[in-house]
Order: sequence, then structure tokens, then C-alpha cells
Amino acid sequence: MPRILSRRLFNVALPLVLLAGTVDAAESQRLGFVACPVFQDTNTVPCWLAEYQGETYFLGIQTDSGGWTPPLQGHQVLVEGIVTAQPRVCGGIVLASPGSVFDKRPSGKSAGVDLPQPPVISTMRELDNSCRTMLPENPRYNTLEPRRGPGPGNAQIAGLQQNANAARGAPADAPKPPFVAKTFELHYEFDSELAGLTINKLQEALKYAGDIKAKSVEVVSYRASVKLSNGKQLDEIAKIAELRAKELANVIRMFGLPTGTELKVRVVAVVQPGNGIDDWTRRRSDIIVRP
Amino acid sequence: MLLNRGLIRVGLQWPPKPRNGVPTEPEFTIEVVRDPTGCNTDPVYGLNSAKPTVSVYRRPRIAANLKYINYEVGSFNAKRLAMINDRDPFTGKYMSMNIMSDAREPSLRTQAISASHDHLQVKDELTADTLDRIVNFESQIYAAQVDSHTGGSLVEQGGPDGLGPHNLEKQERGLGDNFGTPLFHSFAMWNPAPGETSGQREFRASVARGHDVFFKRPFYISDTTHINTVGMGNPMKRTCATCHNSNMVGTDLSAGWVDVGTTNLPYARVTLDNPWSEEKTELPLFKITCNADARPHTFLGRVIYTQDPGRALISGRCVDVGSIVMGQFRGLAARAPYFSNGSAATLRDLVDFYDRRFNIGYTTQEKEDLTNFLSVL
Repeated sequence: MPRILSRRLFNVALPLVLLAGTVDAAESQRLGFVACPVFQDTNTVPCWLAEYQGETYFLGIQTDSGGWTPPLQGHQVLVEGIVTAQPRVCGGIVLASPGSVFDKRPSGKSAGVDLPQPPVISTMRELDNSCRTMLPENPRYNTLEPRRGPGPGNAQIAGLQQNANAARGAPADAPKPPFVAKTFELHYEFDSELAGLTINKLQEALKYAGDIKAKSVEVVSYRASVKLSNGKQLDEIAKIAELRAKELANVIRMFGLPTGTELKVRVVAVVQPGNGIDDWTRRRSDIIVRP
Repeated sequence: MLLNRGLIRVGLQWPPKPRNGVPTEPEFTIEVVRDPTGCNTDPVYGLNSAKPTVSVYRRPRIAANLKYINYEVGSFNAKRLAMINDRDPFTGKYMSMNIMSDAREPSLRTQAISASHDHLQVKDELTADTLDRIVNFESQIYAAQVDSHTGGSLVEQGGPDGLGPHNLEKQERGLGDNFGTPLFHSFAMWNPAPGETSGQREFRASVARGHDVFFKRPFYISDTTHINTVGMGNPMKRTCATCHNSNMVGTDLSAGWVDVGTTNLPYARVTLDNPWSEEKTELPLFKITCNADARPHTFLGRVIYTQDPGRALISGRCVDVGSIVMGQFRGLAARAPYFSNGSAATLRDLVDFYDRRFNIGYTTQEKEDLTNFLSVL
């Protein structure tokens, strides 16, 4: 890679890498690829792996709902992550998050070492029943903690509650005039119209709209592309921006807007090209609340 | 169907009614492949009639223990990933959506109104006073098994506090899929209990083992929409209690519609018609074709054959085809057959379904223990 380009990438990547927290920026290598996810059982929770160009990568472990979303067998998975120098887990090179808003919490420990925030995972929309590899427990990989019962342990439940409380936060003071327009971003998995992991932004937007008795709430939805490590651009389906906008507008209608607030919907169907660095940021909808 | 499977016909408007005031646009088309009762192809009542109606056949649900079933929840619903729960129009509160097998009624009041129109064909609207009395009546009923032929009294002093209607009345709703708060508590006192006969001792020990199979024995839960798809991965290594997690009743604490395969092919029980057998197909079969832009059913794709599209007849979503709200695990021994379409004639059939569906590999002893455990709830 030419030195100047490398430097530019480094400059762009640095803030994201700092967000991830556990990755040495100088060592970071970004990977984006589509593959069948591989299920590797252990004596505690299963690992999720994926193979790319003859190498095995560790994505994360089975967790409870929320936080990262492990892959689904029967579908390919898009992986966007950063290679770490951590010891291999379940035989795979450990990938970490590129610093996305999908990050919720660490997904566990291996041999006493915290696992990083997992890479961004998108389950591809269509079925692919060739993706069904399940590997049995292998004593070499029995390094994962915590051992767990049928559901979350008490400590984990307490942690979840703590996260929920933190996310809820203290009730903010109502904004004071002069009011300003604010944009709230919701992010999506590739080819998905369901903003499950960032839907709290919708609530923030609607609260703000209510507080300022907004003149309008505008939904602007985008279609993006991912630049894969093999150099190819992978575009989202043609109608994804429209589907995102429609889904979000329906939810807003179900919640209800303040009297007198107009709901506007705009679809940006042109593909936002990927750069292989922060492509997840362009799979989004903006909710613009205007006074 | 009523005699063989305990099923009644439920006729649902197609396309679905608006929800929370917002029109529902179906993501799929429905074709009737097989129609043994003739209702779906009927020119007056069928799918292509002037008032298009889909007829499905379902088990009535138990109207008891309702504080565990019908309750206020937060606005967002994990089963819909980005959508919101339905509100009770009487209170404006978001509700648990666990009352009916397709979650079409958000509260006991709306369910009473709907039943008065559809089942009873009452001409006048129910008054507020009548609705109050219906809801109050339903809300004070607790039902559970109280006696077992082999196991004896299930409500004796010092017995398991996961059993009997009084314990249901005393306890509260909660998440019970973890060691801190197991949903059916403990059966350790039955291992063995003083004063038991030998028959009781053997049976109760089997129940206690069955509880442990239910609560602790992991298997690979796979290809189950609205379980594997809500952030846990497919497959996931968990137990029965992961999905059936609600304290004392074994439903799902979040809105509990799930496609475990009871109505969708290839997992649903089907009767294969043939000239040399007297057993005939009873249930309709529908072909669902998802629109090109729609998110397909996660594990069955864009063309699905189903005996009952379940939640999808209300939400209009492909991903919901075959999803059914879990029923509660109470008074089971008295309420055969099981599953919404009555496809498991006995509790053992029900256990066998799961064993096949998830390739669990239960031993004969485990199956017997699990069956005995379910029979005392």
C-alpha cells in the first residue's frame, strides 16, 4: 500500500480504533468479507467462526439477545472487523469491532482474557442452506467463560439491568428555546430494514419532537455499499432505502406524533459507495426533527 | 376436527385489519392448496369471496392465570426487532401480546369485544360494566393440576411451590430461565418425600428428573424464527427453559410468537392421503409466496407451505408465517391434544415432536421423565 494512502487510512481509522478500545491501531488490519458462519461448540457456550482466504476467524460467542447478534446458519454472513493480536479463540484469529454503534458490551472471556467487542455482523437476507457447518466440542477450545446455566447468570442479569438503566439514563431536562434542528441516526445490518439495535434513537427523536412541539419530523433513509477486502463493492438491494423509510415511518405513526407535527419521508436510493473502513455508518436512516 | 383435535374454526379477514391505526400491507400472497373443510374455497366465506377470509383451525386457550399472560410491557418488541407492541385502546398501555395464538388482541377487554362479535355474534356492543365484569372474572381464576393418579396430591403442605393453583395466585410474573429464579422452582423435596407410597416415590422422582431435563439439559435450538433470530444465533445451545421462560407458566416473557414448526412444513405433522388408508387430511394447506421486496421467512425462504400462517395473518409479514404464541404449561394433563393445531395427541407425542425437531436424542427415560413432569403442572 502506498505510504501516503496508508497514512490517510490510518488517520481515518484512528478514532474508530480508539472507540474499539482493545485494538492496537498500528497493528490493525481491516477485513470485510462474506462467508458461511461456522458453529464450533465448546464445553460452555459455542463459538462463531468464519473462513476467509484459507484462514479461520473468530467472530464471537453465543450470548443473550441484545448486544451483538451472532450469525444464523442457513445464511451467509457479512463480516466487517479488525484483526487483533489476541491469542486465537476456538482456533480462529480474533476479529474486533471497527468501532460501530452496534457495540453494546464485551461478549465474554477466553482463558481469562476479555474478548473484544465483536466485529459488525450482518446476516444476509436470502437463505443459503449450504451454510450449515457445525463442529463438535473440541477440548482444545474449552477456554470460554462464563460457564452458564440455561439462562443468564445472576451477575449477567445484574449487568444487563445496569446497561438498560444506563441506556435509559436520567430523565433529561426539557430543551429550552431557541430550539434547533436535530438529527438522530439509526443504523442497520446490511440489507436490513429493521434497526433493532439502534431503535432507541427513534425514541430520543420522538421525545425531542414532543418537547419542542416540532414543526416536522423527516425520515431520510439511505442505501449503501460495502467495499470488501477483495476489492469488490457489495451493494445493498435496490429497494432497501425505501423499505427502511417505510418501516420507520410506520413505527412513527404507531407511536404518534405531536399534534401539528408533519411527518416527511425521503428516500436516497442512490448507493453510497463503501470505503472498506466505516461502511456500516452509511447503512442508515436519519430522523431530522425541526422546530 | 373438534372431536379429533379439539379445534375450532377461526375466520380471519384478509388482508389484515389496520394495527395501531396504521394499515397493514401484506408482504405475501396466499393460495389454498388443500381445503378439506371447504371453508377457504367457499364462494361466500372463502379467501376469494366478497369478504376475503382465511379459515384456520386452532385449540382454544385456557382463560386462567392471566396475570402471567396479559401485562403491560415496554414499547419495543424483540420479536419484531424494530416494531412496537400493540396498545390496549382502553388504557393506551403497551401490552404483552400473549393472550391469543396469533397475538391479535392486546388486552382482555379487546378480546372480549372481538369474541362477542365473532364467536357469539352479539348484535349490541358490550357495555363498559359488562366488560369490567368479564375481565374481573377471568382475572381471578387460577388453574393448575391438583392431583396425579400416580403421584398423589400436588397441593400438599411442603410440596413443590411450582405446583397448584394457590401457588400461581401467590406468585408473580418474572424471568425464570436462570439458576437464580427457576421458573418451576424446585422439586428437590420429592426426592423422596416422607410418607410416600413406593409408586408415588418412583413417579415423583421421575417428575423431579423431568424438571431437570426441562430446565438444564441443553440441545441445539435451531431454525426457530423469533427465537434464534432475536440476537442469540442459529443454532444456540440452550434448554427448554430458554424459550419457555416465564415464571410458573412456561410462556415467553416477551411477546411469545415463535415458529417452532408445528404448522409449517416440513416439520408440521401431516396426514398423507392414500387409497388404502381411512385416515384423511383434516387441516387446510396454504402456499405462501413472499413478495420480491419482502424480507423472506428466515429459515424457509420465499415459498412456504403451512397449515396455519399464524401471526402472519395479523402482521402481514413473511417472517411471521407459522409463528404461534406459546401456550401456558398449566393443567396440561386435562387439555390434550397439544399445539395450536392439536397435532400432538398426548404429552409424549409433544415430547417426541421436540425430540425429532431438534434432533435432541432424548433417552426413553428422559422422555418419560419429561412427560411426567409436564403432567403435574
